[in-house]
Amino acid sequence: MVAPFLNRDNPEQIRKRLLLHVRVRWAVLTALIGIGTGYQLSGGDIEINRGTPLDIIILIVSVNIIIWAAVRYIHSASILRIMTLLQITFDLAVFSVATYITDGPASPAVILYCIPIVISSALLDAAAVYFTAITSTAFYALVLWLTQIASGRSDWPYTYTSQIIFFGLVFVIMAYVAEFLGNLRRNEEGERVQLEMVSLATHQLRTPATAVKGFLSLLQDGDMGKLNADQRDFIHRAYEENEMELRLIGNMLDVAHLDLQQLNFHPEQVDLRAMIVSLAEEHKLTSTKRKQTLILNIPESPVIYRCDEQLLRMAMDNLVSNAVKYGTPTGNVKIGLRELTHKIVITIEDNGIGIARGDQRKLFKRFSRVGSDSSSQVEGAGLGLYLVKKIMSIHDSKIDVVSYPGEGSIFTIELPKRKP
Amino acid sequence: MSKILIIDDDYTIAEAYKIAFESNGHEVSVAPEGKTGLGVANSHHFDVILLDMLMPYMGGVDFLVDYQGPVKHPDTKIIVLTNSLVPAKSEEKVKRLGASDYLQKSSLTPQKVVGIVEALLK
Repeated sequence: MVAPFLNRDNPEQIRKRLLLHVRVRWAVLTALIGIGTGYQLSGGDIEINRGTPLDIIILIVSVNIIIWAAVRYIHSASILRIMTLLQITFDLAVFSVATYITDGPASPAVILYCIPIVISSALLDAAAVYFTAITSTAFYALVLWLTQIASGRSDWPYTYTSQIIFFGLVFVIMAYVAEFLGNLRRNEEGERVQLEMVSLATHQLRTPATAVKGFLSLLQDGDMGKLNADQRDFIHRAYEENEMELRLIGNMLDVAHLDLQQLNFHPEQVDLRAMIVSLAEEHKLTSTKRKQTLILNIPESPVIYRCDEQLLRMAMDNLVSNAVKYGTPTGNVKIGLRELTHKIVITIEDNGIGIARGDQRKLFKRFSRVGSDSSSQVEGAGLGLYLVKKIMSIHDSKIDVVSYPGEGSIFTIELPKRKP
Repeated sequence: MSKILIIDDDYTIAEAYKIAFESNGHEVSVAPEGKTGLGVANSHHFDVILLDMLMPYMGGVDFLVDYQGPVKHPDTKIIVLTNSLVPAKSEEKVKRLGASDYLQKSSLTPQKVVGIVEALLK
């Protein structure tokens, strides 16, 4: 599914959009050839004054192939952004050539004039583009009028009026597009500000909760004198409730942090094998406490993959932590890594309480908690798997779960391999 | 007994750490923000400095940059504490600037911080 707005720093998303654009152009070309052929076969005649339709077909096909090939092998977000502008320029050039050879409603110069407007629409705000649209149309009308005066003619041909209307319409559409893009940019900015506010507010919530934790632990540890059994029990309960609040705050911070980072996706070459080994080390203490065996099924050699290391690690950490938390004490937690021809597959498996089929659908939704009686004893805010799903979508990757209540769960991540 | 300096703008958290360290027999001084802390840290010797990361006027990183400990008090250890996330890059940065450890406050009780400090001093 195409995301509502383009993340200009995410090369994978830009690349997807460009490839979609190439496919749309193929579809338009096929449709035009089909309509043109049908029109001529039915006895109609397309008026061609300069060149042939074949010229423009060859132009579109060849440029489309070049763009398609280039986009597949480009990884830099900035070059892909330039490619986006080139695409718009190319489309307008094609439009102008088509207009030229068919003597369409406006001259190629008029259409080519739109190019800087399209480029500027990506940089200017809508008000500036509307201003340019109105002044350019007025200027064009003025040029036509002066041409008439210079040639000593007093009449005003009907074609001039249609050209001005056409010219004005093109600019209004451009301005509308600019306004749309501007709104998207503003939404992106708004979202960033909102996320920063959430991050700040959550941080502010964490400070007093940490102080409460500190004082409760001092009472619990007997630093303030000996407590009776009831006092100890009450303080213990208050401490545990505060701990739950701190964990919730931590997860909310992670979500805000992730959403902020999504706007700054930083892929790099990462050794997935080393990441799994280090994660297993981190979770060894908890799994040993629960008398679980942590088993790694990973290759001997490094498995290099281009991804955002911090994000992928956060996702993996959540899955391994869940496997340890929901896995049966004395059971096994297995982490697997396999490199296949077109993808890399990571599996995290536990033989714990499992998830009912009905609950599996809502598993990756924000604040979702599955309804198992045994799992409800394990605290959490239902944000962990939402985070994992989000991280996977940023990486154009898939996450699936196979689970049977009472038998355990297997979470599978599929990372598609891309051409270097 | 060790001499500890706590530099933290959050009075309640600093107080909790002070109680924990004092109940374990350590001598504690508290500075309410980075600049005051820097003056105290440069002019007196401490075994350990507990340094908050986010403080007004002078944060943890600025403190580490301006601190003359490596010359004046080379055996003083610095532990940076934060209530935010601990990104790997920030951890690398504070360690490069001379900190021995980078801890997240919310995941530790004051007594655990005492344990970490005592282990560091052994």
